[in-house]
Amino acid sequence: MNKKYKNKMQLEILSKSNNEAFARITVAAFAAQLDPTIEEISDIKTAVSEAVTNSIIHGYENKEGVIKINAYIYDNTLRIEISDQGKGIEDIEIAKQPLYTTKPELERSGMGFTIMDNFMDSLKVESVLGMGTKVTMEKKIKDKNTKEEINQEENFYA
Amino acid sequence: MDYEIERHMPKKVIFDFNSVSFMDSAGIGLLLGRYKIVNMLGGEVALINVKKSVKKVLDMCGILKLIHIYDDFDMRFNVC
Repeated sequence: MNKKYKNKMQLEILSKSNNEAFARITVAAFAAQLDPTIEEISDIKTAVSEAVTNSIIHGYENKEGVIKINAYIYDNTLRIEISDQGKGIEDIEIAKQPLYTTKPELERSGMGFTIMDNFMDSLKVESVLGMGTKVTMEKKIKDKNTKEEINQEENFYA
Repeated sequence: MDYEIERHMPKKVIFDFNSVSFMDSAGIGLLLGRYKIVNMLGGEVALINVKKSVKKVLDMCGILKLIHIYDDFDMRFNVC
């Protein structure tokens, strides 16, 4: 998406697990200006949580590093970029497979990328071994009229 | 938690999700880990008071095929 954004936020956090909640809540607060539903906000929070957790656990392997989070608003679309300078992903396509995890001993479910992919409209993962990983996600927030139409349909078929 | 499960070997381990407002794959991993132990000991894992947003994550990950959600009412009357 090359066109000019309407609004932007930037956040840098240390790769500490107690910063994960801060990151997801901050992005959700930024997204609130698009007037999302509770479900849309919940989807965004979950996707951010997964990407930040990946950077902490897999990118930096619990060592200290910096995670950068940029979020942009284009019309009614939220774009989120989450990047680290950690170890990188060897094979992105394999890493994106449901239930795939490199850390089964830590009881990871291997569902991180699947959740991001399902809860957002688009997901792009770029990674260079030894250099880091960047996850870019977009979600279109439905406008109020569309939401009302969906609600009416749901009520009709209820 | 695992120590208590192995010590008492309960037929049911029920997680009350009343205070759980957010769930991600880390939570799924924790539930799956407990499911493996309880299942190995012949028991069942169940959840009660699950919020809609939490249920969406559980459902998407396919965990509801292994772990059932019950109404609080059902638990009280031992229906499940």
